[in-house]
Amino acid sequence: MRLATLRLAADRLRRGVLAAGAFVMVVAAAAFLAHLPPDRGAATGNERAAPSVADVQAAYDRAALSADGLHDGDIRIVGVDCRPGTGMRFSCQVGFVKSEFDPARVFLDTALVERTPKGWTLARGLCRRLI
Amino acid sequence: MGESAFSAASAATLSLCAAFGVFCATANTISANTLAEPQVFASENGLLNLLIIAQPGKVDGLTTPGFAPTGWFYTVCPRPRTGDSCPAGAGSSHSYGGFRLALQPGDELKIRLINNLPLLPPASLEWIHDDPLLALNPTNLHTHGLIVPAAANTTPPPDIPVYGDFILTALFNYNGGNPKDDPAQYDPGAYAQLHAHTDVVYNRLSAMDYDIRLPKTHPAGAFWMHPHVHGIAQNQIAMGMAGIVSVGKVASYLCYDAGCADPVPESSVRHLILKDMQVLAGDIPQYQQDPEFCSGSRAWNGVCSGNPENYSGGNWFFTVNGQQYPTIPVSKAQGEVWRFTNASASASYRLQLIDNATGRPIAFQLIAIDGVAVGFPEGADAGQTEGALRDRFTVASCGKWNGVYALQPICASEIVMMPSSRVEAAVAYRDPSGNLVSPPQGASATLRTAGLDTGPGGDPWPAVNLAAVNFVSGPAPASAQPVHVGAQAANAILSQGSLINPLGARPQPAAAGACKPLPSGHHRRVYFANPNVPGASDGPGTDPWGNAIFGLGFEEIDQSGHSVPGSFVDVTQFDPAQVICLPLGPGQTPVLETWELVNLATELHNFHIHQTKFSHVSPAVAMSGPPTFVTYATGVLEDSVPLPFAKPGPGSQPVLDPEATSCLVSDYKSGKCAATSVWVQIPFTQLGTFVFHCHILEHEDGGMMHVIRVVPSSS
Ligand SMILES: [Cu+2]
Repeated sequence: MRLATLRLAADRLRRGVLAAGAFVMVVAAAAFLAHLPPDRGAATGNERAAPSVADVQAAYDRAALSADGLHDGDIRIVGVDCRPGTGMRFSCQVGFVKSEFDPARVFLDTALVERTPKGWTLARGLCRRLI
Repeated sequence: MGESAFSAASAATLSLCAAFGVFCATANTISANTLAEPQVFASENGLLNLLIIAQPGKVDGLTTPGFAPTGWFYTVCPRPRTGDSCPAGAGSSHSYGGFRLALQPGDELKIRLINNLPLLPPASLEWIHDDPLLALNPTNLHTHGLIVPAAANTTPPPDIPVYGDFILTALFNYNGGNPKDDPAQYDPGAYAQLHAHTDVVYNRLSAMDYDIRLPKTHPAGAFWMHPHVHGIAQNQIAMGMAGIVSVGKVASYLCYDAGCADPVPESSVRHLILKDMQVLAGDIPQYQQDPEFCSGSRAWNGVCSGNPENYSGGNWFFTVNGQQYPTIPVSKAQGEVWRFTNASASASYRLQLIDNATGRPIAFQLIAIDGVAVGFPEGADAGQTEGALRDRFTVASCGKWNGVYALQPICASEIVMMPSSRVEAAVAYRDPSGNLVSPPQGASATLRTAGLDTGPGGDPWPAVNLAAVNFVSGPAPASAQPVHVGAQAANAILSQGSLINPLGARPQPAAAGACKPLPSGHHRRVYFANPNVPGASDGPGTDPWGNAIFGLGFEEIDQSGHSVPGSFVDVTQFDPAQVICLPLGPGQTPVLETWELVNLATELHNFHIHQTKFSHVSPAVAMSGPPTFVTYATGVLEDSVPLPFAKPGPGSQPVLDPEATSCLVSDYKSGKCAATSVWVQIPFTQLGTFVFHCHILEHEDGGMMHVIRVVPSSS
């Protein structure tokens, strides 16, 4: 049994640098994204209205068509709960069903959707792979 | 570790107590550190409705000066009419030691779970490379050992999702402390482990709900609950996240007499939750266990000191109900019933009760294993009993006993408890021959773990004293006899006609090609090993970051013992997209399968499966034909079992490369590696998608897990 990570972590703790470095990975993973304001509900006007189930389904369908099989092909969205992010972006809890499963089973994922001149687009989530 | 080490530890105790100012219980001392029962939340009128909040808190039961680290554990209270916080005060539990949910067969358990956990230092997570979302500290709940449906969510957003005992989901803290900590800001699809196969739950309340219904025929006994998010389970449990669950009343299976005119009362039952935590110098908790934390260092009461090389100034605490080395007064003449739960993430215990006067073990009488009362008909053959008990107990004499016992009493001088196991034992003063006798004046004992080495490629879990035990002196009780385990309460509950039947199963059209029953006479073989992957940086069985990785392999074997062509899958790490699927039997009846568990590693593993109890069978019985509920019912029913480690021979991977800690499947098949199969019969009665895995959580998080789905039959 080897505990390379653990020993490394212990070493860092002893040297007192862990506190400073603790969140490097979290931040790095999010760094390619715009910074979200802490405000959870700053919608002003219609253009800031949260996306509906149909909007997120449309964004997903558009991405699924163009993503070379990076999405499951049969996601039907049945519920969303979105909060505003930076600009025209919304962070959403998305519930969906899949045809090969019991239709009562609601899968859950998070997704980042953005309003663009072409309509709602999917920036993250629902199986879209960026790497 | 042998008796000499124990003696040395004992001898060192007094001086260490003095040197460190540690409170040390001595014989006959009823101290302020008397073991307290975990706080109880009992169902009423068939319902237990709770709010459970996962959050940081002080570990305040340590007596070593300077150590009161911040762990993570549960605040529990009856679900308030409004709001999602627990009122301060006696009605709420907020204790590292844990709590107990007291349920009855047929009950409904409803829980609102809130995630108020802090972010995790990514460098402390072994599996951060596989899943960066783990740094956000997602969580969930599993009711370990309960035979209940593994129901997935059926509630769409914006409402809070509702699950049964379903673990392929992860609840995130909405107020994680940083606006960047929104899982939607990550790309879950970028990580294969999250590729829409596990739910990501993220809502303003940081909440998800559980609604779990126990069958009316559920066995009575000891169960527990803990988080089960793949990749981080070991960390959350190591930090304290676990509580226990009891089902039914002890009187339903345990009496002082054969006719059960004198049932054992609930007041005679004690619950002992075993947890451990490694704390670095400066009172900083380590988020998981390094088994060599104390190597070469001293152990004394409830603690061993960190080895100077890596953990100088640190301590590894072993607590009972969150208390470091409590005193347990056994004040009832007839003794007590102790329910042990190993709620450690990865540590194993070898429990002994050592008579302080003689230095010899006082035998425990075994009552139940993994939540099911255990017993064998009088005259049961030794192979049957020892086969099932061999790797978990050192069987000892129960002394002289009179009268008729429906099930022969079984005693043990040692109880091996790998992670997640529960053992229920009658504890009373016994002489070295196992006879129940009047305790001498001042009789006392030490409950300790004697240490367990899990094999050449395994872990040296340390020897530590866990509690001081004082026996009340006085005349021997009139009924100085082993207690009676009720015949109807044991295996029979889950056997034959009274087997738990599937809940809510209705005929469902078979999905194309997905779920097929195992052909009659066939069995599944499961291999436990360290997989070899490209880029391994530290030899076989490691990942590119030098972590040991773990996996399972599969094969279907026909009635002649031959591998079914096309069925072999070599050992790989957990992938939630790979699923074993099976339908219930015609008419939605339970299905019984035989599995052969083959450990190819040079360390013990600990097989666990959700939503059912399995039973040992001998290889001869297993290969004699399709499994039957008659043979199933004659065994000990368990939900976890140690798997003996393999013995590599010439030409096998571990012999060719000393870095390797497991044989290859090809080594096994070519006879270069000897492995002892453990044969079990497993009934599938509960619908849903669930898992089986090694319950050494370092191994489960490292990939030794697989998904299984049980669906209704089409007719
Ligand atoms: Cu294991």
